[in-house]
Amino acid sequence: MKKKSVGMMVVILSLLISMLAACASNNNTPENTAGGKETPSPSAVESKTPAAGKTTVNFWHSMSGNNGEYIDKMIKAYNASQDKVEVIGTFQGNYQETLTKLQQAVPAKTAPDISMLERAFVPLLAEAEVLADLNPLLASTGMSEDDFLPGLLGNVKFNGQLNALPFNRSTPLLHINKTMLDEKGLKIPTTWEELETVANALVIKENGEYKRYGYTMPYASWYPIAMIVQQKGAFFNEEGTGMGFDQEGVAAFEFLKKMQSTGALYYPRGRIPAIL
Amino acid sequence: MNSKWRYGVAGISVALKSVVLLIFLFPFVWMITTSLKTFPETMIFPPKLLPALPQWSNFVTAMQSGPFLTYTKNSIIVTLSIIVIQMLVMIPAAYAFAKYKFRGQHFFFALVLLAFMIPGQVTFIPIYLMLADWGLVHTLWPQILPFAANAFGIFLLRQYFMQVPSEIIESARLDNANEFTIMRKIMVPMSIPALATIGLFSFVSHWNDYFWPLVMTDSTGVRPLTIGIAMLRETEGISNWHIIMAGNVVLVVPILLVYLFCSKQIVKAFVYSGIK
Repeated sequence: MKKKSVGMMVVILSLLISMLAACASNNNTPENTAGGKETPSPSAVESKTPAAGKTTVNFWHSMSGNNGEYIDKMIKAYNASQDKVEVIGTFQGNYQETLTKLQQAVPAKTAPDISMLERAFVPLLAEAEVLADLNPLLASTGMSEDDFLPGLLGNVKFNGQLNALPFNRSTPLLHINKTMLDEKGLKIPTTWEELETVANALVIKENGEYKRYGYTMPYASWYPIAMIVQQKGAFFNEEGTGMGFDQEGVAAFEFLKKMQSTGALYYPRGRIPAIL
Repeated sequence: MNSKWRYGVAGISVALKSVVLLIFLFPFVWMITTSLKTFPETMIFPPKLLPALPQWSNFVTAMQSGPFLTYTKNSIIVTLSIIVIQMLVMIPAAYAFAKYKFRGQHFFFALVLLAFMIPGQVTFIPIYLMLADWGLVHTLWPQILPFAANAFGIFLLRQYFMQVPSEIIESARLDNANEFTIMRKIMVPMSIPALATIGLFSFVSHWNDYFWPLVMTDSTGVRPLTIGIAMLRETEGISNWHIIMAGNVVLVVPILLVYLFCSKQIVKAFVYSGIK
């Protein structure tokens, strides 16, 4: 967190990568991230006026529920760690709603200093040139882009500027059932081919009905994008004016379709996540 | 034979009404029972209607998850102010449109109808920019002022006022009543059902409104209950439905209470206009 620049119009936007579901509560993934029982701490950082001499930094985010509590804890810990800067975090609705709010706040000059922004929305605001270039700010504190994992720096650089930083980039995890893998003497898959073999080996089909599927994952745009990039393709071309892939997309979807046709891949039914 | 036929019709009518009643009541029942469940009870399949042991602590958890006292206070102030201001604007406006002949009458009434037809999603950005320019974004005014004139209310009340015989107004004028006395002593008492209906619609729509307060407010201190409850949802993954439902019960109780007191008047409003 940097000191507030005098030109308040400049919005510094930290990059936010959404998980598949941007809207709250529309997710059918089996992981239970909300089973915690502890009493939630006040999930809104009070917008009290900070003590004199402190710089106020407004931070907009899209985290509610447990994630909202975690982010409040981070803000509180940071505010307690020093006495120069007071960060005020405010929930601004889901990712789309936060974008809407930013789009109206920028011309109204009420925009925050820092905001979470879903990765797909970064180019929109970067092209409007309302995002600050973070490179000079990083340099002024002895940091640079190189301090971040290169894999997390996609969708953050535009026109030679660093317009966002990775904050909560989504990372898919592979959950395995070790008992089932051991039963069949299978190893944890690490490539497409291995995934296909392992998933097919786990399928149980009785009387034309699948009793057990091999593998499942939610459908969201960034899964196929990852598969395209894994084949050295690019989703957008270098100028950002069109598609940057051709046969890579065909290969990705043919692979998924082939997996699905044998029960190796199961796409859960449910609402399609809002951000695709 | 004839009476049998009549009993049959009555039976069908009762059966149909029961079905409709069930359809309308079930979500409420489900909300209330869910608000008393434990987290695992909200997840089991097949779902059970009733919790094994009512978990009243869910309400405490929901209310402690944020500054709910502030949210409730804001909701009450905003909703009541809107209704009061709307009445002050609506009654003279409807009276003028119903009982006066003036130049541009049709043009101005067309303007009212136009305002009635334009949805908030179209106007919120210019309104936000204007109110930000006036420095009101961190107050409750952006949630109140834009609703000062209730176009739907003016329209409905005008229809109602037009049914009041002009002779009554003329005889009041002969008794030296001024326009405000006429409104207070004649128009308003004769249209209580219409005013109650408009007031209730206003109350429900503003009490439950999520979109408008979200886009109009940037800080926690001026936000209403609906946003507090939206913040109970999980950004990603499975939400704590029992806590969310506890919050919803709290949100809905005032509406049910108001409706209990107003329902007779509302039925009257529709019956009255039906006879005419």
